[in-house]
Amino acid sequence: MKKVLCILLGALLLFSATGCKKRVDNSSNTIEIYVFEGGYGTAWLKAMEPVFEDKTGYNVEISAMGAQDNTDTMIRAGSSMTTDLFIVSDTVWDKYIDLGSKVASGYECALEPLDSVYEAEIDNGTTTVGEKMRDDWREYFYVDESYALGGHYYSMPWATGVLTMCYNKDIFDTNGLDHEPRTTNELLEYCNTLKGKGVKALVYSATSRYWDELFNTWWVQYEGINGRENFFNCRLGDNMPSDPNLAMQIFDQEGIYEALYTVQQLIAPSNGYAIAESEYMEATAAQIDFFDGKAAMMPNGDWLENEMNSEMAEGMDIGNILPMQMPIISALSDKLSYWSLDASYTEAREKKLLTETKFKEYDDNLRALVDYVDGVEGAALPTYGTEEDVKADAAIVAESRKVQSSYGTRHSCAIPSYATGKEAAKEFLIFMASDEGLKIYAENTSGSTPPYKFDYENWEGYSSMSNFAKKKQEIIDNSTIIPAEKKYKTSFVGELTPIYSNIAIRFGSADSSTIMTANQYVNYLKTTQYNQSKLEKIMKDAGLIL
Amino acid sequence: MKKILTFLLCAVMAFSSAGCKNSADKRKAVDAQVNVVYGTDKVLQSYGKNTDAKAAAESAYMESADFVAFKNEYESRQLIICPEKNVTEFDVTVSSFVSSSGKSIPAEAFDVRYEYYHEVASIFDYNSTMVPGMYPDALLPLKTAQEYGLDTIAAGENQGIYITVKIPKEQEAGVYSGSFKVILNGVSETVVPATITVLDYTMPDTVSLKTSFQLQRGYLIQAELDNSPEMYDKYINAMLKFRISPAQINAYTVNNVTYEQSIVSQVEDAVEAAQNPARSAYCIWTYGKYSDQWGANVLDQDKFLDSLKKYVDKSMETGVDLFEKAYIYMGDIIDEPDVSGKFDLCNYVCRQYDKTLAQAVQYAQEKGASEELIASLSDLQNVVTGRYTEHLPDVGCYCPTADYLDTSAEVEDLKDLRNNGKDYWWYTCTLPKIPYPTHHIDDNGISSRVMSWMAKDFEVGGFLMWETIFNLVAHENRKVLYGRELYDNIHRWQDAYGDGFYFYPGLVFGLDEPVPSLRLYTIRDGMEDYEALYDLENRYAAFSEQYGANISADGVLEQIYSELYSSAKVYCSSADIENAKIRLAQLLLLAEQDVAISDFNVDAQGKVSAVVYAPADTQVTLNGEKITFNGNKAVISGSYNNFVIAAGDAKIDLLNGTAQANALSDETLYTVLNGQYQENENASITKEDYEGTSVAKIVLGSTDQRIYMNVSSFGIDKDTKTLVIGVYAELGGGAKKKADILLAGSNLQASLDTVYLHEGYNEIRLNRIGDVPWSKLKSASNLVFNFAEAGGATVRFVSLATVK
Repeated sequence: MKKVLCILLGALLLFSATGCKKRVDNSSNTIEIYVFEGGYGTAWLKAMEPVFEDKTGYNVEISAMGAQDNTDTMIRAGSSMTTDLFIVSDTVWDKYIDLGSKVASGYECALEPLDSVYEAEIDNGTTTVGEKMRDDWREYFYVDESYALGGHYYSMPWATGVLTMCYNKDIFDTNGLDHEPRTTNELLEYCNTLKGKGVKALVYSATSRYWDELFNTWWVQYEGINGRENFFNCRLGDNMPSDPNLAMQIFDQEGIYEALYTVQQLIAPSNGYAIAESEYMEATAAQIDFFDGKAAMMPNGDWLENEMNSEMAEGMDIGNILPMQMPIISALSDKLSYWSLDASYTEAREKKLLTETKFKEYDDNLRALVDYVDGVEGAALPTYGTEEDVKADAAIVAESRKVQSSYGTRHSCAIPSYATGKEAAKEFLIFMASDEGLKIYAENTSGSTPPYKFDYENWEGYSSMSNFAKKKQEIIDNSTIIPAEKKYKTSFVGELTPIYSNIAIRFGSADSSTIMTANQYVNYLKTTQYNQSKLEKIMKDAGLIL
Repeated sequence: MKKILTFLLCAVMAFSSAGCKNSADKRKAVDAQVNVVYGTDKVLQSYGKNTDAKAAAESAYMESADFVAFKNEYESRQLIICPEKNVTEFDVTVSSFVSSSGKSIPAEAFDVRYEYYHEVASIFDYNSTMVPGMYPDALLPLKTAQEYGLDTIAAGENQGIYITVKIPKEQEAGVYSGSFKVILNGVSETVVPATITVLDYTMPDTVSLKTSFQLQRGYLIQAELDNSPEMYDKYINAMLKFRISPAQINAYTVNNVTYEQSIVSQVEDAVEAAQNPARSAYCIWTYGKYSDQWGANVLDQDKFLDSLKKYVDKSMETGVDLFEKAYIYMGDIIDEPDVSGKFDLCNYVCRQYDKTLAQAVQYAQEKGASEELIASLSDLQNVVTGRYTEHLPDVGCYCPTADYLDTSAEVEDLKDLRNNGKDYWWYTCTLPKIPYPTHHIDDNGISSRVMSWMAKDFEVGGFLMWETIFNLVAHENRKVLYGRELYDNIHRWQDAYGDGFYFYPGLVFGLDEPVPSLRLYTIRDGMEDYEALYDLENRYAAFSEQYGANISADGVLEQIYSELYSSAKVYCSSADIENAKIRLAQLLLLAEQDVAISDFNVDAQGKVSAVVYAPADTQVTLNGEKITFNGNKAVISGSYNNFVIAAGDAKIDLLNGTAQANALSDETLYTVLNGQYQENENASITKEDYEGTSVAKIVLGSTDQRIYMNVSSFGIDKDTKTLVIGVYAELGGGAKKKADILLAGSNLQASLDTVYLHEGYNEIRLNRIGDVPWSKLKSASNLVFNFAEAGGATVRFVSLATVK
């Protein structure tokens, strides 16, 4: 009886197996890639696939997903999951390093160290992956020894993802705006000029949260990377300890307030600069409006061209839409030598110490400094002060000018330590960093590149690239990245952030019960979202205080 | 074709599972380790490569099962069976338990359950020391597990057996000896010796700590395919057995019947609920009504007033106060306003509540209700989930998550609220996270038990849980789970296991009642502890009248609490709790003899003091020496290494270590810093005599905000149990001054507590110093007083006692 049962069982299983979906070969010879399908698309990966397979004999299987909600679940599923390589968005891997053996049963760490990838020689042995990566990016991806499993690399970038204010140069030219705004005050003046001529200055999609990145750029322009890091470490200065009694004051950073104020001024419905429906628009709809010339500017990323090419059936010509170098936050004036008021920029504005004359004088000085550090033709060192003072000011402005928010810090690749194809996956990562890989990537993403030192201008595809693509590369080449929020433990453990609630909605909503001023938003942070007790718990959970 | 195949497959599977137990294996002898752990320990089915976690679990193993229980109390232990080879069947039997006087504990007092393991694929709590794996939670009757062929164990894996004994009320006190026998494959036997010490104190039937566990009838369909009132009552009864109370009075307290039907049955059943000692509380149901003004539901005041009136009428008709155990929780209308920011709506609804309550009070007065009933009605609490904030002034009863009572200052703030007519409960959900107390499956069982001790200590009014049988996977579009899925999918919230559900469906295993979780047993242990603590307090209050003095259990209880936790974080072990329970038991046994230990204290100079009360004819000893009483009272004070009070069979050593006093009058110990961490080199620090004691006097200048006290020579390290600091504070007219107290190492600081300094003498106790992460701190160089505001005080440091 037992034999008959066994045969029957076997037959049934065979029937059911042949009726099932084709299973991916989960061997060491196959790399199963889980990839985010967003603005950069996946054509680049699909183009790499046959080239890599030919070179190595490995087999590549690609699963593309539009949403990123599953990455955490998949990582935590452990060896029951077959993905060998994650190429995802919106994931900072440090939290998995911090969790160590808690992530997946039986594994000390959920992620495979990638030191051997960073050390791998590429491009005929002329460099290594790590050396080729831009220095600030390589530093960013290093997990330091403050983590028990630190001292290694566990992830690497696959996109640069610069996010800035994009603009329609034709609209600018038509309306007499002959250069990119150099300061946020100038940006607001542009908005006013356009409004006066019946042109909508801005369109955006509130749900895409791109204003968060512009906020980040302006915040760091003022406070510096250190200042932002101090926020996430709940300390008031570089040499101050993390003190719960003082920690609530981190929300009083002037850079935070002025960055919020700038966003609020740009999108406040009462100012009328933005297309009203922006509050509800999906990203694609907003982008279509922008491409159709319904607004002059839109916060967006360097993937914009590629994304619109993919969205539009017949492709599209990006024309004269360009990314701009982010305007310098005008409040930076209060750190420069010409500032003579005994108050911060915010106080001076609110107490009306900043007269119209002073306002113009200070911002003119700042604009002149921007022209100077940008090397604008004919721009000389300003003469408002001593050469020594002005040069010192120029150095500050130059530093701020380079600050650039980047989604690329969250667009990253990692290999689970329980992957069966991890060695093959490492080979794929090495290939991605090679010149050959970067060329395929650039060809298939409308000229984007991950953050590697790549001779873009001498690449054969360069001449056919759009002005948008060329300009964004210029920006990237001259930028300093801002670390992703989730790199800080207070963020991934305690969700500490100065932009908890969507600022595009809070500042741009038509609903009077929702909309806030920048002041109200900061108060909201300090009363509703956070308080000393909660912050103290975040600090303890993050190990800032024991 | 597919259907035929499916049928056939099922049939084959059924046949094969029935025939699977290899009869040859059945009779094979197998060696196995059988160890014992406390009911609050969590031992995973296996640990894989997690050798550290395995070692930690095994460090709790005991060789014998020794229970200590009150009469009418439940007490549990676990047998952990780990065989060297596969086990195809097993059984566990309980021998007779007999005392030296020949009395026995009846067999029906024992409940033997099989631990069902559930997958915890990943740990979400950053500060947890637990690891992913298979966790025990559902506890099936062993017989049921055997019927369903679950009684197999893979070689090298653990199988837990949860054994609970309910000591009968009438059981004679004494030590009962017996054993548990584990039989593997029908042939290999391991006998685990066991004793049950029955103490001469009876656990009250009453459940005093108010709890509110929502029980939504709709979930019963998925679980039991039956959401009838009868099934609902089974769940209510099951909950009451574990000393937790459902929010709903009955199955009709829901929205799928009319209000008129519901209120009639609610009020009727409230009479029984109010008189049921096992039921600590119930919710008087409220209903929402959409408001155009708010764009949301607000309180339907008409229905609420009508409800209250009906409760008043019924109370007067039956003579049963139906408000004493009642509360209001409007979770459908206002929930966590401190998170959502909906302050205005919440305040409005609370004002609606207050107005309606006032109308109900007026009604009761007009109807001639008794003063007691009117007072009860007036005190009806409106529980709102969320912490206190000045933006929620109209809330009557704040109910923050448990981590919000983490410091002495926070607890004091809440007690002040209570003194000003408010109240407070607490709750847990997916938050807080470990090391704060949780009811999560991947937390140890200590956490949920210690919470009841904290509730007593922090004087929490009640505990609220948002659901008891949540059967959806919230993060997968609220996917519905049915039947056996409810056993095998415990990951129902993105970052938590076990939140919102405590039972498993009995139907899956042919049982006529729900299957409880291990967590319910540990929660019940805590609730019984709470009852004993509450009883002790009441007895001491009664002693005040008996002995004509102000007698309080605070001192002795503070001493016991200090061994379990220093804040709302849980670091203690099962052994710590058992020890605390035994010490509490000794206090109760002394109280049974009318012996009370009041005003117990170990002060900052390491001096121990207490006032012992006893009847004239009762011999009480201290460290074996007879205490001389003045009437009924003996005042004791001095330096002691032990403080063992004994009378009759009861004995307790109240000290957990020896106190070493350190004088603090040396001015050179101190450094004063301002708010920016800059030293004030001209700080006012002097040595003086103050009220006959040598002290260091520090006058805080207007910018002085921190005092560093050099403690490097005081021997504070991981073996230190408690620090007691004596400080005189002069606050210049201010009522109190908040200060964080930290232990500073070379470059890190560990937060010990946040306290209020009051005008006059303050004795600050900082407990469980060993819980500080010493591996990171390395050593203690300074004790830091970090004031919330600069200046405004003169402090005089007297002494610091380290207890080791």
